[in-house]
Parts: sequence; C-alpha cells; structure tokens
Amino acid sequence: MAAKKGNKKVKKDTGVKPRKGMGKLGFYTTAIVVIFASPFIFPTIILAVIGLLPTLVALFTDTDRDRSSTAAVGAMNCAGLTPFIIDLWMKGQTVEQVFRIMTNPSTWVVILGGAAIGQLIVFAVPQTMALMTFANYEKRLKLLKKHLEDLKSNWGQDVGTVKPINQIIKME
Amino acid sequence: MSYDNASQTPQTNSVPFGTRADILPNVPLPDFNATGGPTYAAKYRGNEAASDLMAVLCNTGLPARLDFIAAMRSIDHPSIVRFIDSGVVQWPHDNARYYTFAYQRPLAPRLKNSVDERHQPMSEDTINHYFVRPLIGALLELQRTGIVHHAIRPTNIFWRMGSATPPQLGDCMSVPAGYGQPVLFEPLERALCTPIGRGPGMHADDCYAFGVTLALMFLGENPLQGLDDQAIIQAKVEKTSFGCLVGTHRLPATHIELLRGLLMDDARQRWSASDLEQWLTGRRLTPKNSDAGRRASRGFNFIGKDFVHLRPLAVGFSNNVAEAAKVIENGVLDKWLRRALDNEDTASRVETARTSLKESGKTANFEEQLIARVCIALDPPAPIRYRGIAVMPLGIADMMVEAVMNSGNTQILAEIIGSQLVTFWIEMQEELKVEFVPMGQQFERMKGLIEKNSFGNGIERVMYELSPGLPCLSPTLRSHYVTSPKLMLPAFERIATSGNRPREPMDRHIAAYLIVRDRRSELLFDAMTAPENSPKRGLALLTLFSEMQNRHGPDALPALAQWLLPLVEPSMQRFLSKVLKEKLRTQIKDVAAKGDLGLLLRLLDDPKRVDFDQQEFMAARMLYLNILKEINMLEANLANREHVTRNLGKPMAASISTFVAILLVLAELLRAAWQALIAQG
Repeated sequence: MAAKKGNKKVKKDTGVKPRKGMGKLGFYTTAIVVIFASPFIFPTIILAVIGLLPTLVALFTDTDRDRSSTAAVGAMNCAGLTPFIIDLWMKGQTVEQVFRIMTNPSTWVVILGGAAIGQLIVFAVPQTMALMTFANYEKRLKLLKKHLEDLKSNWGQDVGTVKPINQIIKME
Repeated sequence: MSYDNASQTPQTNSVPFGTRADILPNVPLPDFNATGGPTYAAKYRGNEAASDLMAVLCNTGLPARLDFIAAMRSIDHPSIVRFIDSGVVQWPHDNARYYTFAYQRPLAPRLKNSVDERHQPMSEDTINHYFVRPLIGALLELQRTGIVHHAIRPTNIFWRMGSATPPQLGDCMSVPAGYGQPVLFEPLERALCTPIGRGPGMHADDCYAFGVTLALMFLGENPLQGLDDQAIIQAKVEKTSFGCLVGTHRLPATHIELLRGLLMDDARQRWSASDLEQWLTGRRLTPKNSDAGRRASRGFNFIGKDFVHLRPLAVGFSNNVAEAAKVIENGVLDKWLRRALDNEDTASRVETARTSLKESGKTANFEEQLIARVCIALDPPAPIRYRGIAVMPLGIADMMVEAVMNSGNTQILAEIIGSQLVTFWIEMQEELKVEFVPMGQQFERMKGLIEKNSFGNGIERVMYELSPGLPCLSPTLRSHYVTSPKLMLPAFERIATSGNRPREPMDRHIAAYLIVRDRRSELLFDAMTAPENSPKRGLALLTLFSEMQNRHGPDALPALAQWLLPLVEPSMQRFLSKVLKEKLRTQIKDVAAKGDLGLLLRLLDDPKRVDFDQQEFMAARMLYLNILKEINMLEANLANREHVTRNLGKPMAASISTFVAILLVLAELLRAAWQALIAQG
C-alpha cells in the first residue's frame, strides 16, 4: 500500500510541459461556434477548410511539442486567406463565389505563397537566431576564459582548486 | 673599553684600539713577546712623540682572559706591569681583527729568556730586598683584586739582576689561565693537566709558582734542568715539590722556611700572600714537612711496578686503562687499599665509583669511565683523566675552545660532561669549597644542554655558557673578534660589504652565542633547523637581526639587508597574489637599500596583509568557480545546436510569423474598409 501511495505521488518527468487547459477549451469552443454557425457561414467554412490545407499539412508534419512551425505557417496561411474571405463576405457568401475564388489561380498563389512565407520564416529565423546566439556565446566564452587566465596568472594554479590554504602556503 | 673605533684605521702608521691606545704595527718588540702573541710598540692616543707602551696582539686564537680586565685595570703596583687598555684592533698585516692588551712598557729586560738559564746567586739581603719583597707586594695586590696570575716565572718577570728597580710581573691575560706556564711552575694537580685544561685555579697556585721562581733564583739554576714534563711530574710525585727542587741544596734558613711554605704540595697548607707578608715582618711560621701522602705497607704491583702511594698509582691507572680495569674489577685494588694502605676512606670512595657507574647503566666506554672515576677516588684533587686527556672541571671550557679553534675532538669533553664526571669529582673532594656548589649546578645544567641537538644548543652552547668572555667562534665571525652582541651586526655588515660571505649569516655558533650573551629565546632558533629555502628560516633570521638592530644599532645596515634578501625570498610564498608579491619585491628592494631591517620585517611579516591576501584569494577562488560554471553551461549549449534552434529559434519564428500575419490581416481589413467607403461615397 505504501508503495502504491508513493508511486501515486511520483510524477514522471518526461520533459513535456502539460498542455494548457485553455487550449482545449478554445478548440472545443471554436468547434461548437463553427458547428452552430455553419448554416450561416457555410461557404466561408468551405473556403477556410480548403485554404488552410497547408496549415493542416504543417500540423501533421510538425513534430515539435509546441507546434511552433504549425503556428508560423498557420499564421501566414491565415494572412494569405484573409483577402479572399473578405472578398467572399463583400460579394456575398455563396458556394458559387467560393468556387469562383478557388478556381482563380492567383488565389492559390496568394494562399500558398503566404504559407510558403510562413515556412520560410520557420526555416530562416531559427538559423539566424542560432547564429546570433552562438556568436554571443562564443564572445562571452572568450571573455570568461580570459578572466580565468587572469585569475590564474594573478593567484596561481591553486585558485582553481579546493586545496586548503595551509597546504598551498608551505611554511616549512 | 670601546670596540667601536677599532674599525677606524687612520692613515698613519698607528692603529687605534680600546679608548686611549694606538698600536704601531711596524714596531715589533720581540723582547716582550707574550705567550698569547707577539708584542708591538704602542702609545697613548694623541701623544705622537712617545711610544712608551707595549701591546700584546692575541693572535693565537685562544680565548683571552677578558673577565679579569676590570680587576686588572684597578691594579697600580710597581711590581705588576701597568695595564692601560684593551680592545679589538684591525690588524693591517692580514686584515683580521685581534684582541689586544696595552701595558706600560717595562724598563728592565726579561729576567731570564729560559728557565734553564743560569745566573750567579745573589746575597740573601739583596734578593730579599730587591726581589722577594716587591714580588710579595705584587702577590698581595693580586690576592686583593682576586686575580690569579698563572704566569709567574722567571721568563715573565722583567728585572735587571740586582737592580733597585722593582721586578715586574708580565702579561697574564693573553692566554687561558696557566696555558703558557711550564709544568715546573704548576702545583702537582695542575701539572698533571693538559696545559689548556688547567682552569682558572686559585691564589695558592700563584704562590706555588712564586716558590718555584724563588727556588730557581736562590739556587742560580734549575735543579730539574733537562727533565721532560713527565719526569718533572714523576719527581714531584715521588719526592714532593720541595724535595725535588731544593733537595740537599744548602740555602739560608729563612729561604728554606719560605720555600717549604710556598712549595707545599697540599694547597691547603701552602703559604698565601698574607703568610708571606707575615714572614716579611719577621713572624716565623712553621710549615709542615711536605710528604707524598700515606705510604702503603706493601707495594701494589701493577704493570710490573710496585706503587706505595695513591697519586702515582692513579697516574699509572690513567695510562693503562685495560689493565687497571682488571685489578679494579677483580677486587685486588680494594684489598690493597684496605689491608696494605689501611685507607678505608679511599676504599669506600673507589667502591662508590664502581657502584655509581654500574647504577648509571652506562655501557659506552665503560672501562674509561670506570678508570676516570677510580682515579678521581684515588686522588681527588687531581684532574679528571678520561680517554687520554686530563682536565680540571673549570678547564673544560678552555679545552673546548681550543678543540673548536683547532678543529679538534670535542666528543671526549662532551662525554665528560654527559657522564657527570664533574659532579662525581666534586662529590669526591675532601675539602668542600663554596664555589663547588654553583660549579656542580652549572655542569648539571650543561649536561642537559649538551644532550640537546637543536640549533643553538649542544657543545657550542656549553662553550659560551662556561666561558663568559669568549668571543663568537663562528667561522664567519672568527676573524672579526665579536665579543658582544652589539658588535655582531656591524661585523656582518663588514662581511657583507666584503663580498666574501657564506650563504647565510647564521650557524650553530652564532645561535648559541646569541642565546647565551643576548638572552635570546631558543624557540627563535628552532626555525633554523628548517630546510634552507623555508619561509620560516628567512623570517626568523630577519626577526632576530631586526630586533638586534633595534636594540643595539646601527640604524642602517644596507649590505646585511641585501644579504638577507635572497634568504627572505621564500617568505614571499605566504602571499598568494602575484601582483602583491611583485609590489612587495619592489618595496623591499627600496627598504633594503636603506638598511632598515625592522621596516623590512614589517613589510614581509604583516599579519593584516597576510589575512587580507588570503581573503582576496578566497574571493578569487569563488569567482573562478562561478566563471567555470558559466563556461560549462555555454559550452554545453554550443555543443547542442539543435536544442538552441528548437527552444529559441522556432518559438521566435512563430512569434514573428504571427506578428507579420496580424499586420497583413489588419492591412487587408483596412484596405477592404477603405474600398467599401469609396464604393458608398
């Protein structure tokens, strides 16, 4: 029994942060809203589902725990889709309009271009960030090593040891 | 007496010493040479015209009798050469420093150049009036001042035969007591000693020497001429001193009486200066017939000879240790002492000697120890005879000095002290003197000191304890004749300046000398046993010399400070900061140039500075640790590039993408709104 109690208290440290409750809540809320609103915005939903296909692809291919790539691609995908949704709303929400928009090649250029830019950001920013950070690390490392050398040159090799002072200073 | 001006050599032919005398190195006076060294003309300082003094240059290396200087200065008697001054002189011929005694130069020549020199005997009145009477006055003066001359003999008396000018006793200070005195002029106990081991002796010894001198003067010759020292001793042992010197010679009754009184072999019955004064006034004393002691009814056969007296037997024992040990151990001696000699006292003393040695548990040199003790028991007033040397207890000090000066063997003397032979000698004396008590205590203390091996103890310490006037015999300082701690630092300064210096200004002699003469703590010298590059050793030296500079001066010792610099360099190890070390090195060089040892010590041995340095070191160590931690973290990050990209780059990419998307959406909304407004308008 005691062992069981102990096991209950121990939490496995998997290194994965628990998902926020608000994430799931937001998802379900959005799903309910979409279901209830679907009779009124059906064409918009069709356009969004088709337009956000790159994001869906990113979602399924993203192995990152935080889904950063999905977020980046999704955001730019959304930005690319926004003009057509506005256009749909401005010209009336009909399936014909959706069909018209979807059959226009430039629509796909914009939507996919936005997603591509998102993917480009996902590719370029981390590399740039890493370069900058490592350069900073290298600079700091160099400075710290110089500090170490300075300490050694002023205090001797023993400054880097835990030897007691009375062993360093031999009075005999 | 001043030593300070000894180093100031003027550009004239004279060299100053003491406070008021100058020696003339280019004017030797060989006619006045003393046992302690050659004699040169000297003069009062400032008196350029006359050089009526003589100076004895003590260059034999033997210790002069400096403890008698004050008493000698108080003597102003026509029959004793007038002591003027003394001090250390910087001798120009070999650039060494010697102790020198200045006396008023005698007007008469030396009475005899050899004790065997013959002369025409003088009339009783003449010799009594012009020779005996003034010299009795001299003996009275010596007795009054407590000086034992130990150099009364015809070759050290300045007198023109038959002259009305009183005879003068010559120098007695330049060598240890009795060192230059021929065996003929020494009482039997002292004659048995090695010359350097005779010790300070007593007034009766001077009376004896006076008696022998008178015998030679009365007779006009040396009756023991041609005999070597051993033969003279043998003759004195067998016939008594009076018997072998006067014998059957025909002399006036007054002279016979005088010589009988002075040549008594028993010092207790010998005439003193006071008795001589009474003799002068006409009171006739009746000295006992001197004899060689109790005679045995049957001779003691030993090494083929029959001995009937104890003293010759003791001499025989000391010369034949192995055979003597046998007759002692098998009880033959004891039987002879009790039956043939009928001397229970001596027999019980010998028994005490045997049992005390066995109880002490000493096994090293057992036979020599046994014979030494038995000889003392047989002949208590005689010297301690051990392993070929014969020494009076108070002569041990001089003998030690001589052994050290001539690189001789001090081990035998150390054994004498260590095996408490002196204490045994005192216990065996029939006549207990007041001075024996402190002497016994002193040698007991010396036993403790000689057994210590630490720096500043051992044979060197004992030597300085036993010889109050002894200069420092360190090989470094020997030629500088350092007679007081005050003179030591100036001597070191001169040595340092000369460039011919040893590695460090310290050895066992210097340590022992300072412990004894300057009352320095032994603990200070414990650090000297540390290895040569030990920080403690250099600091101990600096502490010692800075205290001496503070106490005795001089204020500036730049050469000595330079000498000490490499020795105190290891003490820099106490400081951990290299910057601080370099700063200190610069500072101590500046201070050393000024010659202030105290300031040098304060720079190197400041506890606050040491503590501060250690605290700084600990802070530096913490900083080092923190830096090391950060370096490890950075290197770990650098090694894990993917981690940085994922954890930092991708969230940042998502943020940037979202931000740009929001801007684009807003822009599109504004554009749509603007178009709608235009379409309505």
